[in-house]
Amino acid sequence: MDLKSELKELIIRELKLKNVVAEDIEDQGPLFGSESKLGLDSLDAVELVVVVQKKFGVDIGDRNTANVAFASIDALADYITKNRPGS
Amino acid sequence: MKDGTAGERVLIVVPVFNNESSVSGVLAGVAALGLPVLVVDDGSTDGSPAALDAFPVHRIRFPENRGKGLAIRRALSWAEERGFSHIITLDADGQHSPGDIPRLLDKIREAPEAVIIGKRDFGRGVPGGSRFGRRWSNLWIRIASGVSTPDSQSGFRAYPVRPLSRLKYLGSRYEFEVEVLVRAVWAGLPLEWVDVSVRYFPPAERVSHFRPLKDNARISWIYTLLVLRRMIPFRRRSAPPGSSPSDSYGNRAGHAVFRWVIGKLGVRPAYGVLVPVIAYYVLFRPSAVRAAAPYLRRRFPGRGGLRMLWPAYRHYFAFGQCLIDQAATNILGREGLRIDFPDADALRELSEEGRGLVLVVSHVGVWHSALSTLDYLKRPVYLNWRRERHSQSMGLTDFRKTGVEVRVISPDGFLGGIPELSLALTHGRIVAVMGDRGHGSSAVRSEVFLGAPAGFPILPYHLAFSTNSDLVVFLTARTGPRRIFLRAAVWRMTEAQRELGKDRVCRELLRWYVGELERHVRDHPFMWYNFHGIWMREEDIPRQGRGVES
Repeated sequence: MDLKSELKELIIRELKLKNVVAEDIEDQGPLFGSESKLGLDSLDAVELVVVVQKKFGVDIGDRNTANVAFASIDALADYITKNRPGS
Repeated sequence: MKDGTAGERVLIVVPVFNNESSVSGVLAGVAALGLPVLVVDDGSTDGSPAALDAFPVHRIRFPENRGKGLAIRRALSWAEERGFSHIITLDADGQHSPGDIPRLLDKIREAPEAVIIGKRDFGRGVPGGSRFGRRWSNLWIRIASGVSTPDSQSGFRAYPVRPLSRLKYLGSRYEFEVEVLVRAVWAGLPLEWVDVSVRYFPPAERVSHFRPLKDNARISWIYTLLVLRRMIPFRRRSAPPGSSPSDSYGNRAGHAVFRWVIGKLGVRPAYGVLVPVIAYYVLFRPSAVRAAAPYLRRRFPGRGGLRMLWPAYRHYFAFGQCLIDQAATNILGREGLRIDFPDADALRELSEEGRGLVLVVSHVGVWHSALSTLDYLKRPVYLNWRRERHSQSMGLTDFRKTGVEVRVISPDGFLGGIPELSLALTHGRIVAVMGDRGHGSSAVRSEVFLGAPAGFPILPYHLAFSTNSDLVVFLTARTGPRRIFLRAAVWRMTEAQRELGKDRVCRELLRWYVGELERHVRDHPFMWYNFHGIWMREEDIPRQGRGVES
């Protein structure tokens, strides 16, 4: 499974999203906020930070990069690829 | 009606109080300029009203003497309703020459946003009391606003109507004329001066109603209030939005005076200053009592109306003492601060395990000082907190002198700073989050507090659960001069609890926190300072986010 699909599955599972399948999540659409089809709220960011760290060993949370990393599935995959240990 | 200047519409305002002998001369001089004139008769009991009949002027009459300040305030609103841009005030006792009005008009054209003061040229023949009075009020203006004024008592002025009529004033008599200058500076308006001539009469002929002792005392009193006003963060009413730069300057200057007193004399004289000031606010500013009432009504059920004044006084007085103690900590450092913290060792042991730790802090006592005592843990604290302007100028955000390293994460940042907080916890940091006030987007859950539903943020519990961190309810009270009591109630996050699921754990943790807060305000009823209103009607409670439904 490619990283983006993996992330989508992870988000659906960890955030207990109901009535959403991986195919519904757009690669470029925003994850958070009123523009987002997923409609994640700021509290969901806690799970996302924790699971990305646990699964990929990547820290997201720095005030200058978190908004970039959490912009979309594409951006998140990109950020993880670049910041993975050993990459 | 002829306009005084190209773009500005100017109204001449003459407050009159028993100036029968001089007012005709003044009005005749003014009439020569062809500007609209408003006379505010402040309850004259002599022949002044009859003297006015000879002139085509607009008139307002107070049935009794209410003070020059109120007369000018009334003129400001009268002028605003009729679309005037400026008023020029001059005294009816003849000391100001209408021939100087064109100078003020020129200045209005040059600086339409400014308050323009006719600076009097004092030669000999000026009464000593007046000279002293001028210096006295110049000094006060400097303390309160940071601006030096060559002549702050001159009543010969031009005021821009719109910005000034929107401010709130305390002064009704001569003290208004100094107060309006400070408030203008606070609101970001410049002050300008033009030279004017002045004529003082021998005492027998002089009809001034300025009483040197009484009115200078009133001026000092209003200044004490104004300086202290900057210390106490009631809802800000006076400054229009976007008027911060000089406003915060006034703030800083006022606080500087207070800090000086504390540094030189200690906290007790500063408490003394609070007594009349808090009394004043509780008695005469209903908004202050209203701000405290939702809590006090629940904490002291069955009290209402006048019987609420005493708890309101004690509440604000205790709050003022807390602010003073905090200022003292900033000035004097930790020296002389007494700390009673029976749970200190338990918290240290927990901290040494190196797991993430969520500190739930509340608006109780001197919580900033309390947080700063955590330096003994030798770990930085990540604080999710919005720096308010008043707390900044109070020096409340200054944790540097107090030892602990506090890293503030603003709730106004990306996703409320939640990613940053979460990351800090996964790295085993200490994160402090307000438990009694949610910020913006973060979900609020209703819980019964002091017998009524209130909204509390769910964030601290959600953070603790999802990052597998322990949780500490951290409460504090001021128990004496520079003496604080601290309490740390610990909740260990265990695997067994985590199996119950996030929603259930979050709910239980919130209930536990609210119980701890309730117990705290029962022990220390005047130590909770959340004036933002957390009580809600059920229908006001926002729909819970998916993450907190059970």
